Amino acid sequence: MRSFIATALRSGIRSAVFTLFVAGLILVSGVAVAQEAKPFKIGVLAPLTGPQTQLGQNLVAGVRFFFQQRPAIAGRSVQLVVEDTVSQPGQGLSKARKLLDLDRVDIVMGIVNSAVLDAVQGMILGRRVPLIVTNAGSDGFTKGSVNRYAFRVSHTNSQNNLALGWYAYEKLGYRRAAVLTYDFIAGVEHAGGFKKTFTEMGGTITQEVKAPLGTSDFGPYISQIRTGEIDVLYVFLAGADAIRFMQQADSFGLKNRTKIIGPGFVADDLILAAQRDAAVGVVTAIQYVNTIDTPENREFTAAYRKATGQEANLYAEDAYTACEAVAKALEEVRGDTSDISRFVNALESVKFTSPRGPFRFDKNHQAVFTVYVARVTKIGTQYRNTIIDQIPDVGQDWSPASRPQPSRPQGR
Amino acid sequence: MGGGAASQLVAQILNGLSFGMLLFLVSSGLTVIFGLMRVLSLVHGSLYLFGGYLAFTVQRATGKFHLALIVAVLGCSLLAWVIERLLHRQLYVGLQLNQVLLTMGLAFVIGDFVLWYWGGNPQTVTPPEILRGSLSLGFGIVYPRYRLLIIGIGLAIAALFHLVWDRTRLGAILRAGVDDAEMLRGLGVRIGIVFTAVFAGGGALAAFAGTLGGPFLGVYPGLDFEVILLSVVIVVVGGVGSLTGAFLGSIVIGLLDAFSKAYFPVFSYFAMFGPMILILAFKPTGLFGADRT
Repeated sequence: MRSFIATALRSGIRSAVFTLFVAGLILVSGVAVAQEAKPFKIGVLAPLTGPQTQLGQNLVAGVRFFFQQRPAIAGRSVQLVVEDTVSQPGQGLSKARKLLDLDRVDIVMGIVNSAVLDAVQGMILGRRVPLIVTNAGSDGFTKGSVNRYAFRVSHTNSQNNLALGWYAYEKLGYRRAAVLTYDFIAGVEHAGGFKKTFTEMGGTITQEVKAPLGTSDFGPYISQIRTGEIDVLYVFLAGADAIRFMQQADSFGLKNRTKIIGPGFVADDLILAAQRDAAVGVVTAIQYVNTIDTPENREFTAAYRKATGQEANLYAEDAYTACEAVAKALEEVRGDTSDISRFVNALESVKFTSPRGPFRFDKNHQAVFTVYVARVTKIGTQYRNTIIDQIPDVGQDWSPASRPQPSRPQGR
Repeated sequence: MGGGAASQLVAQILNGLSFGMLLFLVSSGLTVIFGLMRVLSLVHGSLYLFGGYLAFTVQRATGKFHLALIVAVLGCSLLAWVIERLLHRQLYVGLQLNQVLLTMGLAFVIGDFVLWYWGGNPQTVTPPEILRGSLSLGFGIVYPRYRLLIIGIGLAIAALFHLVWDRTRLGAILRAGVDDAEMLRGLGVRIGIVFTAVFAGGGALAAFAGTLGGPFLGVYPGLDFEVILLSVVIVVVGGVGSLTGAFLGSIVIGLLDAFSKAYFPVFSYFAMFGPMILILAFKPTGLFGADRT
């Protein structure tokens, strides 16, 4: 009897232990299954064919590089779905629809072309899916009453130029400037930022010349510039246009008669190798050049070179920083995005030091960053953007009055 | 440039001429091919671009501009020769539209090849050292040496074409071919060889222009269609099959481009295509095109 009770008890305990063990297994595997089944899905929209291919490729390279280094965040694996916008609003729209309906992505990032941004933002934000822009600069995206799900890690078109206009007057001592810019909205907004602070400081704009996107011969525009009456020529052009302009300006001997300044795109790290001597001496202002001398950037540029075989540049860094912001927010909510509103709250308050320096969003979710003033120099056979000064904490509505204190140069 | 309205005017005339002469190198080949073979060869712009990229690669490897030029010209004439012998030859019987479609398809294939092989980064060909910088022409006009050279080369080639076209047996065959290729065949000229030679020659000229244009316009994906578009406008304005037409058409389009950009920038696109529309409306054969219907 005693032994029977003992046996029964023992077996009961054994079965209870077994049950617990099995239950535990199911629980553990169940959690594991749930984690495996729900990776964090990021839709990336970028032009991978068409005129802005080069920018799109570098953007995607930046994203891939980040998640190659950190394949999982807060216990969730990350899955990328990259789609080609061809820089066309219509294409962008159908690809955005695919990302939302078919892939059911958690967030969308990327976008180079402002027209594509204007086309897709309504649809993406309307579904309450966070959209993190890493290049397209149209000022309106982060101005006025802004959607809670809209973020931009890169510049607004006028942002760098507001700082440059002040810098050109105050630090470089220029008083009279001519402007050469694109004849569409990006050109108007870029030059607008420069003109605003430059004229507010007391400078004069003597002449404004506008050229269409994809101009093959800038000769006629260059010949128009009355160099006799200016201290400096402000130029905003990008990509192939910037390369052609610099070379044509060089062959006209323009640099012998005036100085050239502009936002970073005029001579960014990506096109310097093609511009070569023609761009030497040009001074630009931008949120990132790959010569920033901080531990974060040294590490970033070295690892990026190792992983991709290419030099880091603005487009890759913008994408990388966007990924870093997303990762920080994802960590903050412990990988739980079931309530997307909590993720957005976490995203809007991220603060960290990225390769470009201190990074944060303003109340409209527009990035606030240091603007680097750099001069194109030739070192040996290499062409580099050498930092000559920096203007910290530049937001989208920056004005000289909001400047905290004089800055010290930092660079290599 | 710095100076008054008069020197600005001279500079714009030179701008128009240099751009026009570059376009002449492309449009002259295009117009003769069009006139002779009755095919609007849309692959012509691609040969320009391909030549430019070949030159870029050779120059990067060897550092020599003249070598780059030679390789580009030979490479593209070979490519054009292959295209004519292997592909066009199949389509001479049948609709001309098939051939236009063929050249269009080839243009896309070459465009994609270029994007795949050389990537999306815009590149440039560096001019020889002695041609860099600018020359002071007096009266406050400073003008790039390289562009002056392009004007010179364009004029020299135009003069050469003029001689060949009017004074040689080859010129006579080409003129006769443009007027009536069938009759020429009837007279015992092996028209097939003439077609191949003209197509290959056109390819060589396009590559020559692509290399010369390298330091000036650069090379980048999409340039092929920009070049072919302007060349077609020139051929339409000048008249199909007419070298004189291509020459004057190039100058007209080059000058219109320069002056509209300088003085009426808002209308710069219209200034290019407006004349084409007017010509098509009032003289569909172009300024120097033969009347044949």
